[in-house]
Amino acid sequence: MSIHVKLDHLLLDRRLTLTELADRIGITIANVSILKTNKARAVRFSTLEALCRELDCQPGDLLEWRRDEPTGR
Amino acid sequence: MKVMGKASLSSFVTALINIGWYGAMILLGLSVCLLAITPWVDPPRVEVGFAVPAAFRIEPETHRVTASPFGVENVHLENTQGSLRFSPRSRVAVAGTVVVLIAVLALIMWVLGQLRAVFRTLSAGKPFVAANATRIRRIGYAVIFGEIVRATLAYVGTRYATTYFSIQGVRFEARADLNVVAIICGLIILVIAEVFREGTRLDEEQSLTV
Repeated sequence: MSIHVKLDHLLLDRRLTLTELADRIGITIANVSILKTNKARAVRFSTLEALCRELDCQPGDLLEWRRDEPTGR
Repeated sequence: MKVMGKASLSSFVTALINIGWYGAMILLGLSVCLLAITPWVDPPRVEVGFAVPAAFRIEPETHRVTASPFGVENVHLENTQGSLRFSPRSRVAVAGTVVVLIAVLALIMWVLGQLRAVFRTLSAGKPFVAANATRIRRIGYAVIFGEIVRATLAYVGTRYATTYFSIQGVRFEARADLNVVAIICGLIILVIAEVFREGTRLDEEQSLTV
């Protein structure tokens, strides 16, 4: 997956745990974990909005595009 | 009516499939036992039922069909089918029949096994699992393959009947008799399998949408 969610750094900066963030934005801890581990296939605008609101950041602070490493032999 | 989940239509069908699967397993076990004792079976003394499919045409010259109230003529009885039941005279014939029976029962058990696995997921309320598309596709291929095998065996049987049996006024015919509806059902099942695959993909995407 080329799009990475930079939740680790933001949580560390805001001194928040995964559980606290899940409670604040109203989604399950399992879903926040999917986001954090970059397993998510899609993010709803409503979730993105809640994340930006609670973490006081812009969508660009949360998401990052990385070039995939070529898989050589 | 509840279709999926516990105490639903799918759990009822699962129970029926389980009964069919265990029944086929018992028959398969008995067939294997019969095959094992075939060398000691003496066909002329021990009655072993043997049925060969037969297709025939009744000669209108010897068996006239009349319909007096309507005054119609030249009536022919066509596409007649049945089975020639007799006791074979050799152990090889008995063993061959049992081998065919074992193969058919094994195919039925395998298809029922695939169906059991699919219906278990339906009873659990989670139909969209990746393995289901593969299982349903296998069932589709088995339906098509099974129909081709059945038609081939029927043709071999009717060919055997034309070669070795004769009844006065009855003409045996060799017919392939491929059931097109069964083949179409198999093709429809293959399409449904792909629909399941797409459903599984969408379900997985949905579950990973946060």
